[in-house]
Amino acid sequence: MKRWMLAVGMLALVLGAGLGMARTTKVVVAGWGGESEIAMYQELLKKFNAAHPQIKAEFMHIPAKDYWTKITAMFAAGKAPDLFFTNNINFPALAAKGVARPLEPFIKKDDYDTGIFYQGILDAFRFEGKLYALPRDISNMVLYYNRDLLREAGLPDPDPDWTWDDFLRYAKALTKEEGGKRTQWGVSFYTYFLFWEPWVWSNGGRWYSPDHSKFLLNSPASVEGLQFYVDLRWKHHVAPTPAEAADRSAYSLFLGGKTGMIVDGRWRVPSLKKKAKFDWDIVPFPRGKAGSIVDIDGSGWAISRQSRNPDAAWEVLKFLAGPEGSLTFTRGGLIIPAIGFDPMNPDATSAILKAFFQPPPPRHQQYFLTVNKTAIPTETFERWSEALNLISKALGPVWEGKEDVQTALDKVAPAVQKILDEVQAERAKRK
Amino acid sequence: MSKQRQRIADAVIFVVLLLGGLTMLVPFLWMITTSFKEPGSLFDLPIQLWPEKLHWENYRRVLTAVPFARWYFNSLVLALGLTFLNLTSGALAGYAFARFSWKGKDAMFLLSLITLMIPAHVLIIPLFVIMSRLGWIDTYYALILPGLFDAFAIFLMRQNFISLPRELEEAALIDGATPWQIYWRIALPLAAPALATLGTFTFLGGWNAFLWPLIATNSIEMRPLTVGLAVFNTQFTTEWTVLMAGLSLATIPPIIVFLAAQKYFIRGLTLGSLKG
Amino acid sequence: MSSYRRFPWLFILPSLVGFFAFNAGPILISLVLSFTKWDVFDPLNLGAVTGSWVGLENYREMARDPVLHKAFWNTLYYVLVAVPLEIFISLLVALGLNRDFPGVKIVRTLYLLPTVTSVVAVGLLWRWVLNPYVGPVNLFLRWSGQQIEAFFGFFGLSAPGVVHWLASEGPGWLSDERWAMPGIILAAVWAGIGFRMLIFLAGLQNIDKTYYEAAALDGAGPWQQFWNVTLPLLSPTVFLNTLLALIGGFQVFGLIYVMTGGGPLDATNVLLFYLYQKAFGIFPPDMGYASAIAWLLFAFLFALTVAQWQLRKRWVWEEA
Repeated sequence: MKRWMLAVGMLALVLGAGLGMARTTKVVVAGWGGESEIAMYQELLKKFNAAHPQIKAEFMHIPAKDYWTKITAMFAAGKAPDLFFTNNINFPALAAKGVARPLEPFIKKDDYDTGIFYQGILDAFRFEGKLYALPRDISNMVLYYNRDLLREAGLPDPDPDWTWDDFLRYAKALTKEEGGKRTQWGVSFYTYFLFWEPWVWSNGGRWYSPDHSKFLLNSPASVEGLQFYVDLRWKHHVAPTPAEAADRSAYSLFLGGKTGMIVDGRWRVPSLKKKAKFDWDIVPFPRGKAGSIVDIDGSGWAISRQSRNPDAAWEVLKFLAGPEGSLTFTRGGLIIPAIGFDPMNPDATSAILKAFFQPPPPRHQQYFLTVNKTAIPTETFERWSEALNLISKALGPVWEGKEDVQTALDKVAPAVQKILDEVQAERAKRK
Repeated sequence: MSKQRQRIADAVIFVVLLLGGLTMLVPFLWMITTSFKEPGSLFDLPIQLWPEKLHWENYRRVLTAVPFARWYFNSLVLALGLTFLNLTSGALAGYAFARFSWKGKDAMFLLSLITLMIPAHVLIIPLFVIMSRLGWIDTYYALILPGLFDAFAIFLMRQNFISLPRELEEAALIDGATPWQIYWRIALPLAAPALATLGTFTFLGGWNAFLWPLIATNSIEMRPLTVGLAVFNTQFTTEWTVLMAGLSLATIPPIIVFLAAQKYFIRGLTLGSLKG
Repeated sequence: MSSYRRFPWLFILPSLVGFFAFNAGPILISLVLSFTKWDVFDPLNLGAVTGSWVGLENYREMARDPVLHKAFWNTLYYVLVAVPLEIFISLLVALGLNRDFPGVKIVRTLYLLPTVTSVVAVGLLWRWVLNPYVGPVNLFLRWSGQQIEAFFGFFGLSAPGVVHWLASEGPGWLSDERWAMPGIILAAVWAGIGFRMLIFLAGLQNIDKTYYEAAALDGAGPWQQFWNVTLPLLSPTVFLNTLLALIGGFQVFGLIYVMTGGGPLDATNVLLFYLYQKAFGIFPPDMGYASAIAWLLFAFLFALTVAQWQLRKRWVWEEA
């Protein structure tokens, strides 16, 4: 009698345990960010988990500067996260390696509308025709100016449609000399590629041909644009030379009122709001021969091919990239949302826009959004960072005034072209 | 040399050394004063060695906005764990190489030195894969256990044990003691200074470790200070003042260890070096 | 007493387990990877390795790679200059602090501070120190140059070109290809003095005072005492310290990362830094190539170590 009771009891226990064991699918989302962003992720995922009891989404924070080291280690061990944050710069290399899943099947299954995102940034996450990530934020460049210094030099606010000639005029007026030494400059000078691309593009130049088969940075239009930028420093002396900057960063010179203008991204806004002791505002990048073209780069999440729960991951992705996620991240004040105003979705998207427009300064925040119309993504491809290393190295003497742009780029052109040729061969193999 | 000239020479030497020492102080002070600067200040030139006002909120932020105490604890566990491993397994192996002889001993010793010469960058991903298979990622095991074998520790302790006078050990051997007993009762206590020295170096290494803990931990709670504080390096900017507050607080245990162990240091390494 | 003639199982066991569990594997794997062009995103297993096998191609590539050659010579340059400098200066410091005056422990601890200071702070500070325009080093050099020029001028002569250069410009340090590496060496040696000094202090304090007394009785002055007593008895410590400095010299990374990023134009790119660039600096990483560089670095370091070991028999004095 007792023995079969025991057996039934044990069976019941096992069954009960089996049923009671929550059948939740775990989804790991990896991303970078500061502690405020970590808090945003946790808040969002908590909401998501509450609304989706069968899914347990978890955020894995990875420090920004070492993000790729850790991600590659995880992939190498076969323990990749289900969703991972990526920017469009590193994205082609990932897509080419087949590390992320194309999103088309998911989009079709759900009839998902990608129209709420700016098309430019969606394109940035397409590779060989397929979409691999949904974007969260975009970053671009505008020109910040110190209104106090401008007034001092008798200049009005720059016209949003201003040209390079206007810009040079402003820069010269803002450069001051005292006792043979310059004490103030028109514009700060950055050597990082993100800050000199606009000069190349706005002059009609390009780094590469659209299919990445030819190196074009040493072509006449590109060189002319870049040389104009370098001349700001060494010909017109409206930007500080390394000696004059004396190891102070470009931004700290602007913040300290030593330069009148700086081309930079939206991430400077919180710092300027807190620390700038002058009136400042923004204006679009000046118009070159081909217009005013800055970058539209951004970040978003992709589903890893190694993920064992891609459908659950897709649900999480939709939520994070969707209006609710975008609203949370936008409220933090550091990003420009990748979601534009969508007439099909007016309430949600206008809420995001409202969250984006924080109290001035700057007064003309709309420029952060309007420049997206003509902006293009950085011309990345599978081995872009390798080529960038070579190019940056070659440009070193140019920034120091020891070489002109054409000579420096001609010197590095063969090495870069070799990389491009190898990439073309790889692509042909994949077909 | 007359006493007077000797004293002048001594004074000059002292001043020169003191000046040298003070230059060592400068970046340390810069780090600390930056932690008191207004939040949002850039870690930039020109160097401002003294902030206008003492901003304590950097410390408040680093202590409350992130699990700082937990990170501190993790760093201590990591550093002390590695130290413990070196002082036990490293000393044992060092004694073996010093007092035993077997076929292939020299080859083994040479092989172990190889581990000091391969850069860590190419080893961490394979090690990560191994740890993944063991399921130890994000645990203290993954952080500490790779320190089980340390060629540096074995090298140092071997030097030390070789130079210990053998008479005591021989006497014990005659009395019928086993090598194991001789090790624990005689050799190890005599090696206390060397152990203190090794312990200090190991503690510092563990306390400053970054690359492996970065790869081996997933959750924020398991990170040591070095990795945890990296959260203030966002993709947009670095929050220098808060970061320096955290780093300044992090210098306390190593400095304590330095000061405390200094009295052992001096007598420690010598016993090893005389009889290389 | 002769050594125990058997295999010390118990003593070796923990280290042996650790070695085979956590060291041998990765080391062998990195050797194998150096013969592949492993795509890091492919989970690491036998298939990934055999699928990306390229044999000696990475090594052949290294032979053709001008950046690698530069990194190799830079590494040699660094080691041959920095290690002797470090040993020499830290020996002097150790000799000076080998006395017992009030506050000596504090001064010793001062020299150890760089090991607990964030490498970012140390690196940025040295960038300012070496700044060719406003840094104290060049300010001093320019001032000296001007004094020398004035000296010549006093006699109605014009100073030689190098003095003129010194007085007006001075070395370009981190932005000048010829001066960047000396700049890095300065910073690295400065930061490394503390550790070396500590090891020397230990060696110095262990020299039996009776040797000095005997020498003094024989009429030896301080210089002769140093040459005939201190130096020989210290030579095993010098060997140990040099070996450690050598291994450490190959691991210089943080300062280069913060101060120059390997530039200008690879002037401060050393093997370890180039390795880092290939492993984590580019995307996607070239782990196969990085592994090959690692093994080159190892061979290099090993050769230097063996050379030092052989030389040791000549100049290291050991008690009979």
